[in-house]
Parts: sequence; C-alpha cells; structure tokens
Amino acid sequence: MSLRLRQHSVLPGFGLTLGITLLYLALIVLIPLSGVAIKTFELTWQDFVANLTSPRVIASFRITFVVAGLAALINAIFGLTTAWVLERYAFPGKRIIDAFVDLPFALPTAVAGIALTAIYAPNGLIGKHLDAIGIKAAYSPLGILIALTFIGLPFVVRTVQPVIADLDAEIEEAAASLGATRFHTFRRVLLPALWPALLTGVALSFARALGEYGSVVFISGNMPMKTEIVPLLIVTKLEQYDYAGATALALVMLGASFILLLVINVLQWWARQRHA
Amino acid sequence: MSIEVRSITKTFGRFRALDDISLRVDTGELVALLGPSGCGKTTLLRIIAGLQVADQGEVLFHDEDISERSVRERRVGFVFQHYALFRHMSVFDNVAFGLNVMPRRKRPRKAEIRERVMDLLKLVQVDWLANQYPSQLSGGQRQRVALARALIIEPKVLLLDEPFGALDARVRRELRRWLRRLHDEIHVTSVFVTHDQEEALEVSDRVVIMNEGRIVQEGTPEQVYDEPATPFVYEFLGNVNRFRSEPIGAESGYSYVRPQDFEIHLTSQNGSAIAGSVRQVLRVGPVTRIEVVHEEGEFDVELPHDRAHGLALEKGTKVYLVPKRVRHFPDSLTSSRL
Repeated sequence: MSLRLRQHSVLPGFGLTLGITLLYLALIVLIPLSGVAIKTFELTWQDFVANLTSPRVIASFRITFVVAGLAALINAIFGLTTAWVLERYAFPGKRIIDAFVDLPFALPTAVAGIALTAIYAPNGLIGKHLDAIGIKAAYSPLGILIALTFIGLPFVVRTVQPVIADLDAEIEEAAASLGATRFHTFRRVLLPALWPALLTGVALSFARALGEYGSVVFISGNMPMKTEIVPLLIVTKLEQYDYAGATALALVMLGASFILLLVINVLQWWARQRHA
Repeated sequence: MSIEVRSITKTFGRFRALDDISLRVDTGELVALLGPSGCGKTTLLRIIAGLQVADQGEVLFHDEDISERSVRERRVGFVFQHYALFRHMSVFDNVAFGLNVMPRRKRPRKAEIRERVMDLLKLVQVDWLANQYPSQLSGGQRQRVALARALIIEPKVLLLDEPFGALDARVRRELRRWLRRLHDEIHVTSVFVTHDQEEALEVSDRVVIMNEGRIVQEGTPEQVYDEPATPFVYEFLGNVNRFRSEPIGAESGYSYVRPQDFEIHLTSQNGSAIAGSVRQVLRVGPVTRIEVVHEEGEFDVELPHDRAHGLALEKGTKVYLVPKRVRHFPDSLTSSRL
C-alpha cells in the first residue's frame, strides 16, 4: 500500500487550498504564539517561577479563573433558559431577542465595558439601587463577573440552540405519557440529550472569559490584589518593559486555553459517538 | 376499560379540526380511526390521550369523566409515528423508563423491573436487542421497542398514532398482522390512527371513518367496505367507477361500481350492459386492469389474470360490461364532502 496524502477527487485545488491554509495559520497563529514561548526562555527557571508565584500574580490568576468560572456557570443556567425559550416557544419579538443574543459578539468589548460601568457604577441606573442596599457592583469582583457573563452568553446559547431544535417535542410527550413529572422529564430525558452541547458551550464561554480584557478594565477598577485580571497584568508588565515577565504569564494563559480547547474537542467527539 | 368521547370540538385559529365528535370504544376493542390527512383523526387521538385539550366536550374512561386529568394521570400507552424513543438510552432503559420514574414507594425493585422489561421485550420479539441504542435499530424494531415502552406501565388504553406510517411496505404488512395477533393476546382497548384503508380494514375490529372533523361512518371492516354510507366513504375505501345513473324517483344521482364488480362479455347482453371498447390492458401481478372507454367516459375494470387471459382482450376489442354490484347515491349526497 502506498502512502498517499492526495486521494483522487473531482474537486480541484487540494494542493493549493491546503498550502494557503498552512501558510495562513503559520503567519497569524503559530509564529506569534511560538514567539511567546521563545521570549519566555529569556528567563531562567528561577525567574520564571518567581514571576508566577509573586502574590500579585497569584491573586490575579485566582480572580481571573474563579470569576471566569462563575460567569460560565451563570451562563450555563441562563444560556440554557434563553436557548430553550427561543427554540421552543413562539412569542412576539422572538426574532429581535434572538438577534440581541449576538450583540456581545458584535459589540466592541470596550463599548460594552463603558456601558456596563455607566449602569453599575454607584451613581448609575442600577448601581445606585445596589449601592443603597450595600452592594458594590462596579469596581469590585462583582463588576468583573457582570462583564464576563455578558461576553460569554452567546457561546452557550448558540451551541445549545441547534441541539434543542433537533430534539423532538414528542419525546417530552412520550415521557409524560409514561408518568414522568416535568422534573423527571428534564432530568432524565432532556438534560442527557443537551449535556454535551451545554458543556461545550460552557467551556467556550469560560475560555472566552479567561482572555477578556476590553470590557473588564473599565468596570473592575483594576486594584492590584483585588480586581486585577491576568490580561491586564500582562499589559501592565509590558508597559514597564518587563517583556519576559509578561510572556511568562501569557504562556500560562496559552496553556490553559489549549487545554480548554482540547477538552471542548473531546466533548464534541464524545457527543458524536453517542448520537452516531 | 372503555373509552368514550362526547361532543368533542376543537379549533385551531379559524380551522375547525373536530366538529362535535362522539364515539364509544368498548373494552378490549381494537378500533381504527381512518381518514385523509387533515381530517382530525390525530387530534382526536391526542385529545383522548390528554396531549391536547378539547375546546368543548368530555372524555370518559370506564364511564368516568377524565377530561380534566393530565397525560400523566391518564396512564395511557401512546405510540408515536416517529417512535419518539429516548436516543441516549439503551433499548432496555427506554422500556424501563415508565417504571423508573414511578414514585419511590410504588416503584418495583430492580430485579422485578429487569424481569418485567425482559418479558415485554420477549413479547415484542426484540429481547436480543436490549443493550443496543435506538440509532442501531431498524424502523420496525424501533416501533416494537416503542410499543414495549408504552405497555410497561400496563395501560388500560393503548393509543397508536400512525404506528406503521414511517415503515416500508413489507415491514408494514408484517407488523400490522403482528399487532393484530398481539392484541388478541393481551386484549387492551386500543385505538389506532391511519390514513391507509387497507391497514384499517385488515387490523381493526371496527373502523371509524372521518373527514373534515366529523365521523362519516363507523362499522366493522365488512360493513364499511360493502355498504359505504356516503360517496366519500366509497371513494376513500378503494378504487371506484362513478357514472350518471337513471333518475330514481324524482332525484337524479350517480352510480358507483368497484373495478372488480364488473363482468366482461364479448357479445351483446340484454338489458343493463354497457357497451365500450378496450383502451389498455395492464397486468398487475395477479390481476389484470382493463381500461374501457364508453360513451360517457371510461371505466377501470379488474379481473383475475386467468379470466382476462381467457377473453384474449386487446386494444380496441368491443366489450359489454355488466355491473354485479351497484350503489346509487342521489345528487344531494354526492355533492357533500362527507
């Protein structure tokens, strides 16, 4: 058997399109990212470890991962609800709401950040009521949570929606006719079917939240040790000409993103296996 | 358990899906709801099951009004046209579902669930597929599993919505005979919806024919086929030839003759014979289909193949047709859609 990459096909242009794809990927993804790794090698191992274990860095990692995780969980619940209502029911204004879901995709994140800050600041529309009952929304971890929830929502909605559309309403009727309560139907019939898509959506939303910068810097207040996220700390280090220190942080974030993407792919593979 | 519906009416927007329907199904009966698509038969079935709510009228099980009860409380077995199996569950878990969702104090023990599921899978002849997933089964196997799933809760009433509609012709025929035998074995009161007249006539004890939201005729398969109450039923249950007949009394009307109810003669007959000439002779398996042109139009005639062969019919042969069985309907009935 001869090893042939190229199989006979009536579609022309395999060589050309593969070549362009590889060149393109190399130029805009692989070379810049390997630059991050190479730059980090300027640091000795001790410096690298010291860089990553300074209290300010650890605090920023903690706030970034914890808040991004919380935001992803919130999006899991509300994203599922949104996708459900948009797919299962007919109501006036449905198309408009459906379009609104994509807004966080399309809006420049800085605009979103400024808008959210204006609303949630202590003198803002919602912020002043929260302030009255002693809740500080903007310039606190809660502010970061609001921003990250905002930008992550469409990921959950858009991954779960097609799966809900694909679910037959008849399976719910079948479950009900067999005596299942609404809770049982949700727990045993709907959730298992939606689970892989929901996990994928949550993982995507989490990955997106980890890297978010534009909207958070306005609303978080950027207090070191309290509301300083990793992407901001990277920028701060760059501004102080600590390039190697910045890339050390970047490398960790890159590793985290890579693992997440791997998890997402495994989830999708798993989902395909079950419905094959 | 008997089923009765009284004056059920259901509208969707301005469309009247069911118009004052009343029907009784006795304990242990197997009844077919037959009609063209859009006649309201599925809506009626779903109202009996509690999957839809009627605008007016009552549903009674065993002479008790259950109109206000939900699907869950009615405990009917419902079989869907497209099976509606749970894709992420094995065949075993699909069938066990109805037992697994019972309140804990009523739920049978694990071993008993296992036994009951396997017994039922044996009854529907798919016990060897217990560990497979629905996507690995053929259409006929899926429908058997769906039936087992519906039967596990020991329903007093079994409702089937076009159960064989999505299957190919051969599997369909096989499954409907099997359903008939199964019903003779377990005797659960059953209603099934179909648009296929052959299926209804073959499987059921009683056929209820519907059109445009009303019941047109009900009776045994023999009754509805041999004595159709209206021209609609005549035309719906098989092929029919229609021609203008001599006025009976004051009212003129049409005569209906089924293709197999003609005698063909090569020589002139006295009286009522209709003269015509053969336009086409088609052999369809065991029967021969002959198109005969006469002065008012054309007739489809069906003869057993050996009879047709004996007559040596070919294009242009002069023939005389004698109807063996004719039904007359006055114009007032013919123009009605019922």
